Amino acid sequence: MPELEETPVAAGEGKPELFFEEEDLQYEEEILRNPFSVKCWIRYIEFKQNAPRHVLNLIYERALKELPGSYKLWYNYLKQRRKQVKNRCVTDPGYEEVNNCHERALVFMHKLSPENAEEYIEYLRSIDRLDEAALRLATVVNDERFVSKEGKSNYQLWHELCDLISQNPDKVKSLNVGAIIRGGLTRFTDQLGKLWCSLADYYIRSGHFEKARDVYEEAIQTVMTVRDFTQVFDSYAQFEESMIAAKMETTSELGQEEEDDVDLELRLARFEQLITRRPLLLNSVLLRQNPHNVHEWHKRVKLYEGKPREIINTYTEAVQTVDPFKATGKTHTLWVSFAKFYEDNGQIEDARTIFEKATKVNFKQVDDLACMWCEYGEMELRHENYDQALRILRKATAIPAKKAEYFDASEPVQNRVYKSLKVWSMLADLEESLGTFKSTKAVYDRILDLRIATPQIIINYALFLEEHTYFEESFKAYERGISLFRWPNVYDIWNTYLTKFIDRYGGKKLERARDLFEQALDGCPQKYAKTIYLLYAKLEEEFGLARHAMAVYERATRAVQPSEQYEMYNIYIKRAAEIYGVTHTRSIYEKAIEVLSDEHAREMCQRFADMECKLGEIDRARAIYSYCSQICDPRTTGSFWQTWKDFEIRHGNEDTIREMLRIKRSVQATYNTQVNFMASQMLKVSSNATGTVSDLAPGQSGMDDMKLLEQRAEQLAAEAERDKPRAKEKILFVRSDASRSELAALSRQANPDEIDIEEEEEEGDESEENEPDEVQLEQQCVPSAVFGGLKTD
Amino acid sequence: RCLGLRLGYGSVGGGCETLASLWGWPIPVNFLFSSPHLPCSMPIPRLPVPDSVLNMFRDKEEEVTDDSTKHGGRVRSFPHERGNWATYVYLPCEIQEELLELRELLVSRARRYAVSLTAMEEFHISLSQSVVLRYHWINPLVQSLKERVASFYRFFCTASQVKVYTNQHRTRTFVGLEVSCGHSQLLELVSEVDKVMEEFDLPTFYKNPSFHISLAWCVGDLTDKLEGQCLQELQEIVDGFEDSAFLLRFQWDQIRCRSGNKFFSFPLR
Repeated sequence: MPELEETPVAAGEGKPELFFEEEDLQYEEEILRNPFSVKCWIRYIEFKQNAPRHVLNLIYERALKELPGSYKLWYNYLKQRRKQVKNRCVTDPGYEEVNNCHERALVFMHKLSPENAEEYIEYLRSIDRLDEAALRLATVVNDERFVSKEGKSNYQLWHELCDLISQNPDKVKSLNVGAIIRGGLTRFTDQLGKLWCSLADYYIRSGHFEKARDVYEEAIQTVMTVRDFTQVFDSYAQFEESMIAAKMETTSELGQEEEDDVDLELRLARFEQLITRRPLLLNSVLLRQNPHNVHEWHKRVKLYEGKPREIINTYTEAVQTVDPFKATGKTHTLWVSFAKFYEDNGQIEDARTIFEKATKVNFKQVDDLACMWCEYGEMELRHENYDQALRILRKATAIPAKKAEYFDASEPVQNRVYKSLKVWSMLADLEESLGTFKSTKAVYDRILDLRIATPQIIINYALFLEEHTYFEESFKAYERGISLFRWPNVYDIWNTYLTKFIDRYGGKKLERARDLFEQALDGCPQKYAKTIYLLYAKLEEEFGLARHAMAVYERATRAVQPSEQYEMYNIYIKRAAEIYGVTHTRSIYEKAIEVLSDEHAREMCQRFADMECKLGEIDRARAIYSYCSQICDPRTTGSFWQTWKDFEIRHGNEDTIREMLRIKRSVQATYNTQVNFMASQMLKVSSNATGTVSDLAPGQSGMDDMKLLEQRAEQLAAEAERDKPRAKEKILFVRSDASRSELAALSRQANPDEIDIEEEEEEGDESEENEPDEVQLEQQCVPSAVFGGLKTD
Repeated sequence: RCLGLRLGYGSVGGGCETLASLWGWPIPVNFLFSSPHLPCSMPIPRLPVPDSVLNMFRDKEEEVTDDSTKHGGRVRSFPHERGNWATYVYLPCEIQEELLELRELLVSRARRYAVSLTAMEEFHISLSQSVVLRYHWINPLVQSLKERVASFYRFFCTASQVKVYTNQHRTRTFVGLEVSCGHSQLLELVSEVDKVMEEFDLPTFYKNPSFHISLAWCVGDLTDKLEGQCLQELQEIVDGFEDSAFLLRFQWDQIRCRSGNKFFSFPLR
């Protein structure tokens, strides 16, 4: 039997069966490196869990040879061995072996006993000797070396003790329960809620209700987390509630007495008060957690609504507690609302005191202090103390004893606020409405000197000067602004400056105005050029030379963004037509068509042609159409072809229409060849079905199924048409003076929207062209309607 | 009246028009508004400011420890504040040995009347009150002054009349020589300076000024002691001073403006 062979202990003494499998090697190496690591052995054992028992046992034996004192190893080993002989007869020699094993284990493990302590405690509990159990448990908890058999942590054991003593206050006499739990409160700070509840529970169970309440009160005043607070508070509320219930029960049983009544009322009031206090208590918890939470402080003030003294105390505490550098939220808002509180109570003097204090706070950001000053000023304005407001802002902007840069965080904000635009702009506002012209001007100049101005400030300044009729000064202000800012920030200044300048001088200082415009346009990005050019051109038109205006427009068309070029050309053409007459617009049109994108060029062409047409220059117009057609894919630009067609109907003749159609086809072909070649190859097979189409335009085979279907339908319709009775062979002689209806008929036949007609022209050119007459016109309406329906399908 | 009101209410359906007509009646305002619903204004109790707040930042407060010994017991007429620049415009007087001598004589004579005068160290005629400027006002104000006084010519004036003056708040008393000749030029100058002051909404010079050169001063209002006999004696000293007619003739060739520790000078033509 294999067991018999291996059970002789001492590990692998040259036994012939001892060999390592491939996967074992890594484990073997590991234990070679760390022979005294229980973990390594356990890992090896786990890996070998399903190996034959002799192999497993051997590993256990080897492990135990290195680590004879390991409880874990022995425990598992013995369990394993017992399992191996489980179903055997007691007389089986295997039993003997296992017994030997246990004997050996006992030799090594003689020192391991305390784990039995837990069993013992359990036993003591079961026979209700709780005092003794608690004592034992206490010694176990205090023994740092104690290793729990059940794998419990020290905290768990300690908590068991807590539960035991707090729930059985009457039986556990020999321990100081209060002291133990309070000890726990300092040791296990993450479980405060639970511990406080245990402590209170102890007092409740031992009948010390007042003491329990004290404990609860203490707890809710000291816990730091919302979780703990909720735990304690809920338990507290429950306690009060059950107290009331109990009281009510006893009174109903024993009958009412006046004393009880008062007592009950007192309890009810207490309970009620507890519930109403909850938000405030919770707020306290949050503030204990983070005393620099500005928002919570504000909330606290709100909770105290209607209790001015508490509000004052809260604010006082808040402003003294919150450190601006640690604060979440804006610290200065606390000061502001503190002052506002006094202000609302009609105590301006005290509000001022608060503001004065607030201006000395070491805020984190300059902006906070600037806000403070502004609020201070605003308050005075609210109470119409205008001079006072002015004085405050003047004080705020005074140069500090030590000047510091605005962004120099190493300096207190008080040394930097003199560079805050916020206070300066408010001062500028106040000076404008309350001060004198000179004092306001001095403020603006100072802002510029400090280099904190924004384009808006510049514009405000200039407008202010203008208002006081200091026009040149105002222009000087713009100039200063222009020298301070770059594009694109300077745009607003230029825009206002130029507009104001023209408003003021009109054509009186034309050269200076021109200089200004040139200066503005120098370096002006495309994006902003349009407005300035338009202003410039307007100036030239109104006060300067038309020639100059045209030159400006011309420049503008090149200087603006490509997306605005079309619009610019439109304006240019319109102005040119108004000033010089339409004939002067030709070169502009030509230029525009050359420069603009296809889409816009097409528009331009149509308008150009339209203009020529109106001028009676039909040939020119036609030339334009013909030129433009090169960029007009008939499939996407139906309207263009329609326009041309309409034009030819009005002014052309048969030849010209035919020429148009020819051009159209050739353009179409050009576009078709540009279509993806691969796609045409792929669809060749399917397009064969409609041979005519592929014959006509091989590239068109790139069309989708719908198109193919459409074409087949058209083909059928065309055939139907061919079957119609032929009218007398009348040759339509169309001259340029041909009647409209005839031309219309012709063109309808050559409706560019309907591909089939083109096909027909290909196939039966002659018959088709000669066909139509008045009667047939009527008839043709039907098929074309049919096509239309098919098309829209 | 009552009837009118009822009429108004009776035809409420009329809307605005009736309301307007209602208002058209000469109803006393209190009749309309003395409704019992309006809250009677109870005096709101005054809320205290906690001492701990009042004591915050005590150390940071700009201590205006006006050590009066530093400026000879003078009392500030306006509190010192950061960013305030005390400014005044004046005609500076060249210091002449003889004038200093005369000053000593006057001081010692006044002592006989138990008035301890302090001698002025420099002499001038004030053309403006002491005003407070913001730092950023100094340049525009100086510029403005320069433009306004540029067209003035140099001029003479004589000052031989001893007079006693006090300052605005009567915290100091001065003994000076009143200008007798040249008053009109001075008035013209003052009117220009005043215009500059007005541009900044600053106080202008006194009405009907008595231009003078202060020679000595003392703290407090001691006019009573100095007027009368004492003044007469002082005048006698001046009158009897050697070559006084020549000595007390002053020529002005520049105007000065002092702002804080800055001095600006504007020469006359």
